Amino acid sequence: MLEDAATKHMPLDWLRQNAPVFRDTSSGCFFLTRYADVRHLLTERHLKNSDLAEKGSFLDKAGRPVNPKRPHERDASMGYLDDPDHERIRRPIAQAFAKRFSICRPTVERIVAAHLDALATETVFDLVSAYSIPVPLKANALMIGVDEPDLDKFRDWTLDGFKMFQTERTDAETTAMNDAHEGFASYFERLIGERRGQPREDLVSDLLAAQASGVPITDQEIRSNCVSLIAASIMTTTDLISSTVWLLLHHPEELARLKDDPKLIGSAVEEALRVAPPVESEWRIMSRDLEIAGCPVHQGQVVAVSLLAANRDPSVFSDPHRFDISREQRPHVSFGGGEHICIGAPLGRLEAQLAVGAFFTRFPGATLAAPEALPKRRPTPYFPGLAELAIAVQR
Amino acid sequence: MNPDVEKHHEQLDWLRTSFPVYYDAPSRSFFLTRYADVRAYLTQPHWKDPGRAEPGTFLEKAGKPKNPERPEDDGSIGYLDNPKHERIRHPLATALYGRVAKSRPLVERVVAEKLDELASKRTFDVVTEYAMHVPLKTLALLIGVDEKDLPQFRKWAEACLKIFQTTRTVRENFAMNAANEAFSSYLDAAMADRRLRPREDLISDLVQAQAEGAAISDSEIRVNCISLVVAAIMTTSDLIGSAIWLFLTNPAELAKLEADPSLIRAAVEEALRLEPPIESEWRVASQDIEIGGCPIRRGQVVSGSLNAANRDPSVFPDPHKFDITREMHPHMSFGSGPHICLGAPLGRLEGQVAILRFFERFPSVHLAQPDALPRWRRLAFFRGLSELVVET
Repeated sequence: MLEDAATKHMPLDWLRQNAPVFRDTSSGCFFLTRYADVRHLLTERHLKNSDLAEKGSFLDKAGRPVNPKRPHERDASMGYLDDPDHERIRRPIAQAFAKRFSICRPTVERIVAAHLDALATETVFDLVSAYSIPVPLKANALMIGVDEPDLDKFRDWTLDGFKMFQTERTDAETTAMNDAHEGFASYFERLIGERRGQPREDLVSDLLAAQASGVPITDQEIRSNCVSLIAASIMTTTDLISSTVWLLLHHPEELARLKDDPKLIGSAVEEALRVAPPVESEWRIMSRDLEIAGCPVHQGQVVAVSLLAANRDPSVFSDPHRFDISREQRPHVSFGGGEHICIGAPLGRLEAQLAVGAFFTRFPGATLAAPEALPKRRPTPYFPGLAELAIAVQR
Repeated sequence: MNPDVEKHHEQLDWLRTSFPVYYDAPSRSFFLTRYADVRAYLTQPHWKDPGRAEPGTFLEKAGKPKNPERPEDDGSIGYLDNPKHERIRHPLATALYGRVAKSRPLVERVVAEKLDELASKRTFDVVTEYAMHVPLKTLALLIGVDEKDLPQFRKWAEACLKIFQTTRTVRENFAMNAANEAFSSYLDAAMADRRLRPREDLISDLVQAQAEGAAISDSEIRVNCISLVVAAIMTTSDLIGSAIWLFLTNPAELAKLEADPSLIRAAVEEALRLEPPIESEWRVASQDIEIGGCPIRRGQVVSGSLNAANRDPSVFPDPHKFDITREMHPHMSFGSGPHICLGAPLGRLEGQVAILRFFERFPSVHLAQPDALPRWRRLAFFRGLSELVVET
């Protein structure tokens, strides 16, 4: 449970027990913490279009993200769409993604090996910047269709763009964030033009081929969703790799079990996902009046669900704060649920399994460089991934 | 069409053309294969009490299923004749239809939860890992089984389903009777509880109706809730499995559905037509009649082949083709007349949601072994796949 106990889990445990349907007046939304309620809500086909949210709720105030350089463009990412648009756009993306995913393993293994090679001579390094960020960045960006020489630019845009999740930004950060969003947009605009003329083996080409065969998806929809796929996949997978390594290093007995039986890597990643979900909460706008655990909730009201709290509900997971890589598996909710369930889940899982597995095979003597130090986390409320993780390698 | 189905239907087609009213000597019953005959016969108020069948027929031998622990319990409405049938069916239908009308969010949730769990798998068996769960969980929650008792309920339901096997081991028989009794006691306790604390479930609706004067006893509520479970789970699961298989082997039809999801209603009807989960239905003739020139005496047993009726070329052109946009004509898969399937609206709803959402969630899904023959379960009267392995 470590450092999060007092700041995070004690309040969540208290809420789960005493106010499982908590009306948070500051954000104008309900907040659910029980596993059963969270899964129910995510799977009952509520809404994601923030235009429909109750006035005064945080969603109504935030609205859909807008690129100031393209003020009239509606963000067409699936995460903000309801049916029929959601289904129309998600289908071809899911098809293209399934095709790319089915052949990606050798590429991910190659990228993992290359980054481990580069660390081979180091004795102390920051796992996050040297490994957790570049591995999914490279794998996911190449799969989508980004050219290899552009990866550095993509890294900057990804990190700057991620500042949209911070609650506060300096002016310089805001400028960098807006530049990153515009950088992504114009990059994909150009890429779509190029791939239409000369298709390659990548997701953008697959989507353009689908479009050419009559699948109803526009260039702007392809572009918006490529950006959001990058934004949603890279940092979350980065955080999953870092947190799995961090958890294993803090639990030497679990790490020893993994080293004895490398097949446990699958359940180790699931357990890391459960105790440290890269995205801590999700929301829906109610599609109808309903009652949650006796509490009336009206159509249009916003309900946030705590994936973090649901994953540690003691009625579902015994001894929930314990990190146990061979616990009896129950589905965690770290990928959300229902029709909006994380489309990249299989890829994130695979990358984390390969990256973490190979890391401990290559560096069996890896330890925390500063075992007593508190972890450094990113200043983004819903995405509390590690900003830094210093590793020492004994040789 | 696959060879197994082809052979099966070759025989039915031959019967329909050559012997539309076929007397099957071993079972001492008639077997109807023409749509018009099946429809007309099942629509008339013939009998369902096996005790009224002539000596020597398969029905007389089988009799009404009984729970040996509860001699006071009569058969479910599927084995009753009027006036008792109508007295019980009416409040049951009122309560069930009211419930079904409100249960779309429940069905959506049950389906989505299962799909969420399957999202981490590249390959899985549609029948055991998906199709079976949807009716099992939906029905349990709709009736009023507590979420925490679902694992227990699943065991009871699976044991009770053994009733459909023509033969059972001693152990299976014991397990079936024990499950039946355990579920009976559970329902007794639930009825007592809901009288004091009504909830949003079928048991509450039924005890409420009873309190308002509906002539239905506790024993009748109990027996019919169990038979609802038994009758609904395997049939709905088979509908979902067969429909998914039909789409996977008919990609042009899947493309039509993907282009226009509102076709899901017609698609489910077409899947029901081609692969009725129950292949035939019987009645005991309540009077001397004549079918297709053949005299039938009161007390004789007549079965209608729903499967053959649904593929009668005089009603359905190109009858062996799966075509979700064909001009619809009512199929026979829910039977007909006073005993028409009580759970049809629920089965349809579950089928529509489960099939549409499955293909939405897994738009690249395909058969893991496209060249393998489908594996149909070997169980008399029921038609469904025993396994359907797919890759996402």
